[in-house]
Amino acid sequence: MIKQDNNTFVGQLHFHFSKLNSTNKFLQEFGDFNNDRKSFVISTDYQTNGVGQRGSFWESEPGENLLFSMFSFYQYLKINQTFAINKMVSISILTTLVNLGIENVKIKWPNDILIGDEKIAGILIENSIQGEKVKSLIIGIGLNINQLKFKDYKRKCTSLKKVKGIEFSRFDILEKLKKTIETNFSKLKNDFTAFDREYLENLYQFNVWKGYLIYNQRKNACIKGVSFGGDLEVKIDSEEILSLKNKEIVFI
Amino acid sequence: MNLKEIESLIKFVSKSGVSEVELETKDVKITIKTENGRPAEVQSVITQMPMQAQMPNMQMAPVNMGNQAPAAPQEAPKAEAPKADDSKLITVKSPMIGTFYRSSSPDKPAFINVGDSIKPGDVVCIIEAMKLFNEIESEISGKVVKVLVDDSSPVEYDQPLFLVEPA
Repeated sequence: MIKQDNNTFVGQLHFHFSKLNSTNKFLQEFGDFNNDRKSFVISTDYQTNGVGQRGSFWESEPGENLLFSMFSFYQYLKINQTFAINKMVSISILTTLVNLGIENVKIKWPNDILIGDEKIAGILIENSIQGEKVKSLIIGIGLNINQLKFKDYKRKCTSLKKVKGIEFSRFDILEKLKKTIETNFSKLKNDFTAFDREYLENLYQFNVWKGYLIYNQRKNACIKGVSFGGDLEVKIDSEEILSLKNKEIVFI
Repeated sequence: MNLKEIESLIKFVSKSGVSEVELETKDVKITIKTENGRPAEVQSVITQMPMQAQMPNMQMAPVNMGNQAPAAPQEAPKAEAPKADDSKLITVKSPMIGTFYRSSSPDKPAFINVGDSIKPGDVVCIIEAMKLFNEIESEISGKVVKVLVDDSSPVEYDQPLFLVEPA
C-alpha cells in the first residue's frame, strides 16, 4: 500500500512552464513517470493547445491568466465519487473569489464558474481508471486574472481585473486556491456529500424558470438539483423531474 | 527537494521535449532549459495491424458430401468451432455510464485497434460523463479481437466494449 503521510491531495511541488501544449495533456503524458505517486501542481503562462471540453479551445493571453493542473492521488476514491470532486473544486474556486471581494459568483453546471452571466473560470477533470479504481486525478483549472479583452464567444468572458479594476498576482491566487482545495478535500473525504448544499446554493439559475435546449427542443425549465453522480435535475412545465446529462441540456 | 526528485524532473523534461522549465519550492528555484526543444507533444506511434480474420475456423465446418438433397435438414454444425474460440475471449466492460471515445481527441489515432496487443495499464478508451473525462486502463494482457462500440456513442454500466484474446 502506498503511504500518503507526506503526500497531500494538492502536493508540495509546483512546476511552472513558460509554454506548454496544455497542462492537462502534459500530465497525462507524464503519468507513467510519476512512480512515487506524489501529488503536484503545474502551471504555465501560455497553452499552445489549451483544452476545454474535447477539442474546444481555452483561449488565454500569455501570462495574464492562471492556467494550472493538479496531479492528485487518493487511493480510496471510487468511480461514482468523482463528481463530488468536481463539486468540491467548484466550491473552492467560488470561495477563493468571494474572499477576494467578488460578488455574484455562480457555479454553472457542470464545470464553469461565472460572475453574473460571464465566465471567469473553467474546470476540466480527467481521471485514470483501472477496474473499479480511480488511480489518479488530473484537475485542470483555467482562471481569468488580468486579461481585459476577450474574443466573442457564445458566453461572454470576464476576469478579476475586469471586475475589480486592479492587477492581481496569479501565483498569490494559486496559493490561496491550493490551500482551499486541500482544506475542502479533507472535509470531502470524510463525507462525499459535504458540499452538496453549498453547491446548490451557488448554482447558476437554480430554482428559476429559464429557457433551455432540452433534447434539442426549446423548453422552459427549472433546475431543481444535481444528483450525486452529477446529473442535472430539472422540472419542465408541470411534468415530473427529468434527470439530464450534459449533452441533453444546453443553456441558452 | 531531494536528488531523486530532481532526477525524475530532468527525466520528465527530457522525455516530454519541453524546452524550458522553472521550478520553485520553498527552498529552491530551478530553471531547466534543453538545447533543442522537441515538440512538447510526443505522439505515440500506433501501428495499424492488418485486419485479422476474427473467426479463422469459420470455413471448416460443413464439408460438402456431394449431391445432398437440398431439403435434407442440416444439423447446423457451423456455429460449433467459433463458439469454442469465443469462450476464451475476455470481454472488457464499461465501468460507468457515459460517452465512449476511442481516441484522446477527434484528430488523434484510436488508443487501440483490432490486432493490437495490450497490457495492464494501457489506455483503451475514454468514457466521458458530465464533462469528467475518464481514461480507462486495461487490467489484462492480450490481443484486441473486436471493438464492440462505435466512437462517440453512449454506453451503459457494464456494457461490453472490447473482446480481447488473453495472452
